Amino acid sequence: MFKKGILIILIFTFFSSCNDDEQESYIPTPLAFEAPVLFQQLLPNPSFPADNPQTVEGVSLGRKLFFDKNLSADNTLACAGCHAPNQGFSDQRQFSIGIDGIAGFRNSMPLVNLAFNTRNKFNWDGSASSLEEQILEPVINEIEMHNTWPNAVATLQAQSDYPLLFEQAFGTATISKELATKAIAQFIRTIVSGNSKFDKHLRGEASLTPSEANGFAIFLDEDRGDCFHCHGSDSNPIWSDNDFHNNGLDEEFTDRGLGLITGDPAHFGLFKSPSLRNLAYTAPYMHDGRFETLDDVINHYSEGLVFSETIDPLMKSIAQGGVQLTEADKADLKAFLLSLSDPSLANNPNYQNPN
Amino acid sequence: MKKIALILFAAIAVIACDKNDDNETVVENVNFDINFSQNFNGTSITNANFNNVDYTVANGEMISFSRMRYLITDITFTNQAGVSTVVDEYNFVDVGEEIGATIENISLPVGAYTVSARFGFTEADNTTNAYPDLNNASWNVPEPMGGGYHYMQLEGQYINDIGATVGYAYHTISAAQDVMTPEVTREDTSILFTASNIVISNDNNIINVKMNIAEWFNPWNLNERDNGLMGNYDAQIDMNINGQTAFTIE
Ligand code: HEC
Ligand code: HEC
Repeated sequence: MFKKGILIILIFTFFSSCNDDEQESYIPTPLAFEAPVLFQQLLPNPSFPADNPQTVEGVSLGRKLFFDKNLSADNTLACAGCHAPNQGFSDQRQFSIGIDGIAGFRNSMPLVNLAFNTRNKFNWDGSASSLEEQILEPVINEIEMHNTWPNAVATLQAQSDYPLLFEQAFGTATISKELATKAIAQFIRTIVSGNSKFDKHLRGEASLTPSEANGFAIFLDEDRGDCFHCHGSDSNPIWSDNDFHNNGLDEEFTDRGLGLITGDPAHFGLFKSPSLRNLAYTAPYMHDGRFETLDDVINHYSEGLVFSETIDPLMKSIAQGGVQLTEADKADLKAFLLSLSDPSLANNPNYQNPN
Repeated sequence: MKKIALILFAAIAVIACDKNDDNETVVENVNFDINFSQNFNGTSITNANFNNVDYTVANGEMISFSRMRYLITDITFTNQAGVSTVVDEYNFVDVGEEIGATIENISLPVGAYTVSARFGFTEADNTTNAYPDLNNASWNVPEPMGGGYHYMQLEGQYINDIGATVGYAYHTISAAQDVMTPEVTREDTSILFTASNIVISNDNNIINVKMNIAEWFNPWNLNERDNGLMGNYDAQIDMNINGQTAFTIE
């Protein structure tokens, strides 16, 4: 901390000595990260990349960029177009539509609590190894924003406000793709969801209905749900293990998932376990958005499992399609899952479009 | 921090020893590593061997591994004067992710030690939510199954009696009774293992903790017990018996 202080002072001295006749130079203000109290108690502190610390100016710039359609080739689509705050930072369409009207082949992912993904594997197939790396991709993806980075950077550089904002955030008015993705990553790391009914229950501020409480018991029970091995629990309130599994959706894979990236046949059909937070806003479900409702999801685990070579060992009674939950248990499990949704996310003023 | 304290302590000890008795030779410290490895009756197993249904257990089934995670705690070196040093409170090994395979640069005086370690947490240490890093690894045991943490998650596939490929999840925890009820109780089924006369010197600065996976299945019938074993008290007791011979320290 002290060393960083010296460094900042040094940099400051350096800048002020070269820029003597310019007006001012900027030092971004460090932004403390505030994790929900339960996360603080239960989980390690999130770690931020040494070369991209959170700052007030960086986050603010990142938020502006996240909502800015100018990042796309024809200035029609922002990140938020497929990651909407009122849809859990996801997209209610099964496949999001890019600027050319072409649909992708995977369901958009919610961008919540990503600072806590210590495994640092992003996308359904784990293709990106840092948030910064992930963010480089959608801008140039042909079916998403279909831009080039030189073009996106030139567009931003030509706007009246961006050069100053980059200077305030990073000490240079020369925009680059590295700085743009750093700023967006800083903003995304501030998107935290920790105020669901279940969180309140754990904090002693609300009590579960009998149905929700029984649903949680089913979620934990090895003989019924056994969901906690992959989807977190009251001890891991991210509600995901951020690991990759085959949960028995298909006999054959049109999308190889993790195996597409590693090339290892043992990884064919493995996808990242999604967090179960905010399911009320993130339908449809699974990597290809095949299930429109939570009932469909629960029916899948209860009686729709199909065998394939890489199916996870935790999937039980596959020959029968699953453990055959009773209708009452299914209803309770659903009630519990919905108690993990955080209604304060959509309207959090820090996450709204600033443009 | 602890290591610094240890080094300081050692340094003071050495200095003290110097001052008090000029004739006595100074005992030097040596830096050493502890490696954690797995084998199947002597055949080395790493994540490179995962997902091959290649290993035959005592009962005759062929099995594979897709996940292998285990917890070793209270790693303790006791010198010949009977003084014990805990070099690590717990080490979480995830073979698939290559986490925890080595504890590096432990510093102790050259000499012969009795080395002990434990598979899983003792009851006293097995406190729900006491270890954020283990929570983050989804290593918890839910409260209705006794709480605390897993000892081991060994998963893969086997060929069953009718020739079908089926998954198994051999999860070892503190054996619990009356799971999923308010009356749930648990008992300590962690396993202490020890080796005496382990010499640490400049020539021998690697200690090996080895787990023979085959021992967990000797005897074991996967056709009867392949999944849902956490809440199965009798299965946990049998795991505890099998595990007594699974670990060696060299
Ligand atoms: C056309 C829709 C679309 C646009 C525009 C879009 N995304 Fe995405 N995003 C997706 C889809 C679909 C996925 C899942 C991709 C996959 O797994 O292949 C995704 C995944 C992600 C992830 C990974 C999340 C995780 O948990 O692993 C991040 C981060 C992300 N997007 C950020 C952004 C940012 C930042 C932008 C703007 C620069 C952006 N996205 C623009 C559709 C979109
Ligand atoms: C073996 C690990 C594993 C277990 C056990 C498991 N899941 Fe999943 N779950 C996954 C994976 C992986 C996905 C994503 C699969 C895909 O899209 O291909 C998923 C997807 C989901 C989704 C969709 C979320 C979204 O945003 O698309 C829900 C809801 C869900 N699981 C609920 C449950 C419930 C309820 C249980 C217990 C009955 C359960 N899961 C058990 C691994 C698991």
